[in-house]
Amino acid sequence: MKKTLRIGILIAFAVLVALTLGASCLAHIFSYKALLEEELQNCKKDLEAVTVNFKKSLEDGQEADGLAFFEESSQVEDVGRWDCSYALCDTTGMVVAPASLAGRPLRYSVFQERKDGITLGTYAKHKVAVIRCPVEGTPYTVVGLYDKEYLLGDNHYTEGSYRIILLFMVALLLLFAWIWVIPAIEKIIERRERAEQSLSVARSVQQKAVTQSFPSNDKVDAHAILTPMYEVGGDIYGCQQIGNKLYFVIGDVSGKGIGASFMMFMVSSLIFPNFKRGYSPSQIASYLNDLICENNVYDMFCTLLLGTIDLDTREMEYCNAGHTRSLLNNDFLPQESNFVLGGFPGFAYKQQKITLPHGARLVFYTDGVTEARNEAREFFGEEALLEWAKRPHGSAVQTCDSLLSEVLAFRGKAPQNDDIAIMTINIF
Amino acid sequence: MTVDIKELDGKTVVAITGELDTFTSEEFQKALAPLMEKEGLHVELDMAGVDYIASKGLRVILALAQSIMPSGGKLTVINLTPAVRMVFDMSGFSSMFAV
Repeated sequence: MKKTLRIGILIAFAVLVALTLGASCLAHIFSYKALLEEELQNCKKDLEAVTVNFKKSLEDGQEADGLAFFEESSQVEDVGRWDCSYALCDTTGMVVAPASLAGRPLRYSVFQERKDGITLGTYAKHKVAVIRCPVEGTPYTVVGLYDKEYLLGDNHYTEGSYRIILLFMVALLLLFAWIWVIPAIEKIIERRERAEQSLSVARSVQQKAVTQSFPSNDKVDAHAILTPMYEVGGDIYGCQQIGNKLYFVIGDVSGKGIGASFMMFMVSSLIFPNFKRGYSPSQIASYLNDLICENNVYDMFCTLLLGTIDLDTREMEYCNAGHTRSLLNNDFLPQESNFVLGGFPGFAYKQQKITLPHGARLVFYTDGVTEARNEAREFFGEEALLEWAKRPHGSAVQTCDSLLSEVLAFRGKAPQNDDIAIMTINIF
Repeated sequence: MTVDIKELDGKTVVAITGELDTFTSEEFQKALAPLMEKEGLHVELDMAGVDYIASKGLRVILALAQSIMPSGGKLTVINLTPAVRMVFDMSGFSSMFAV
C-alpha cells in the first residue's frame, strides 16, 4: 500500500473518531442544557410559591413573619455555598430584606435576558439564574438567585469535561483542516487555475487560427465574428485575398469544447495553404475528409463550406460539405449538399460554380444561428433568417453585428446552446 | 427521448421519439451501443417521432453506420419529419443512407 494512501486512511480514521467524539460531547452538553432548563422551571415555581406565601403574610398582617423568611433563607452573602437564595427588593431595586443587604442594590452581571423572565448572569463570579417575581398590589419584588453549579450538581463537572473534550476535538479538526484539507483545496484551486490558463492559451491559439484581419477595399468587404459557447469552440471561419482571388471558408466541428477545438485547429490550418497551392474547393474537401477519417480520435465530423471568388469576373466556385445554407443577398445560395467531412473515406466531393451579381452580399453562418432557441424553446430558424436578410445592413461589420444582435434578441434570457459564427462577404 | 429496439423481418428496427439534442443524444448513443458491436446488421431507424436533431444526434447515427457498414451491414432511415429531413438533406445524410 502506498505511503500517501496509508496516511490518508489514518487521517480519515482520526477525523472520524474526532467527529464521533465531538458529536457525542455535543449530545451530552445538550442533554445537560435540557436538565438545567427543567431545574430552572422548578425554581420559577418555587419562587412563585415563596411570593404567594409572602403576600399572604402581608394580607394576614404578619409582615414581620414574611420578612423573617428572607432573613432565614437568604444566604446571598455566603455565595458559593448555596443552591438558592432569596431577597426582597423595593420598586427602586434596593434590597429590603435580608437586613444585612438592606438599602443596597442587588448587583449581578447579565449574560442573557430570556423571554420567560429568567436572567442568566454572574453573581460574585458564580454563574447564576436570576428570577424576579413582583408581589402584586405591593411595592415589593421577590428575587431568587439560583447557582447553576448547585442546580446541576455533579453533572455540572461532567458537562465541563464534555465541553473541554469538545473544544479539544474542534481544535484537532481545525489542525487536520490546516495540515490536510486546506492544502488539498489549494491544490484543487491550483489545478483549476492551470486548466483555465491552458484553456485561455487554447482560445488564443484558436483565435489565431481563424482570420483576424479581413479584406476591405474597392472590390470586396469582408468580416466575421465568433461567439463560442465555452472558452473554446468548434466553429471555423476564414477569408483571405491574394491578388484578384478571394478564398473563404466557414465550418462547424460537431461537438464542443476542447476536443472540437483540436479538430477545428487541424482543419482550419490546412485550408488556406492548400488554396494557395492551387487546389480546388472540392479537392480540399476530399483531402480533409480522408484526413479526418484517418485521424478521428473523438468520432467527430465537420461541416464545411469553402470556395474561391474571382474578384474580376465575380465567378464563385464552392463546395458545401454538409454545411448550413448560406445567403446570397436576400435568398439562399444555390447549393448541392455533399456529405459531412469525417464520415467515410474516399467520398468524392463535388463543387458548384456561379457568377455573383454586382453588389452581391454573401452571409455564411453556423447552425448556432438557425438553431438558437428562445425561452419558449422555439428555434430562430431559416424563415427568421430570410426575413432579416430582406433588410439592408450596410458594411460587412454592420451585417455581422446586425445578425448576431437579431439572434441574441430572439434568444432573450435563454442560454446559448451552440457556438455561433457569422461571416459576411460583400462583392462590389 | 425514448428508443425502442425491435427485431422485425430480419431487420433491427429502432424507433426514436423525442428531441435528439446535445444531451438526449448521449442516451441515444448508449441505447445504440449494443448494436454497434454486432456485425452485418440491417438497422432501420424510424424517425417519425423526432422533430429535432442536433449535430450530436447525427454524430451518433454516423458512428452507428461506421460500425455496421464495414462488416456488410446496412443503415436505412425512414419516416423523417420535415425539420429533420431538412437537416438530413443539408448534411448529406439523405444521400448517404437510404432514406
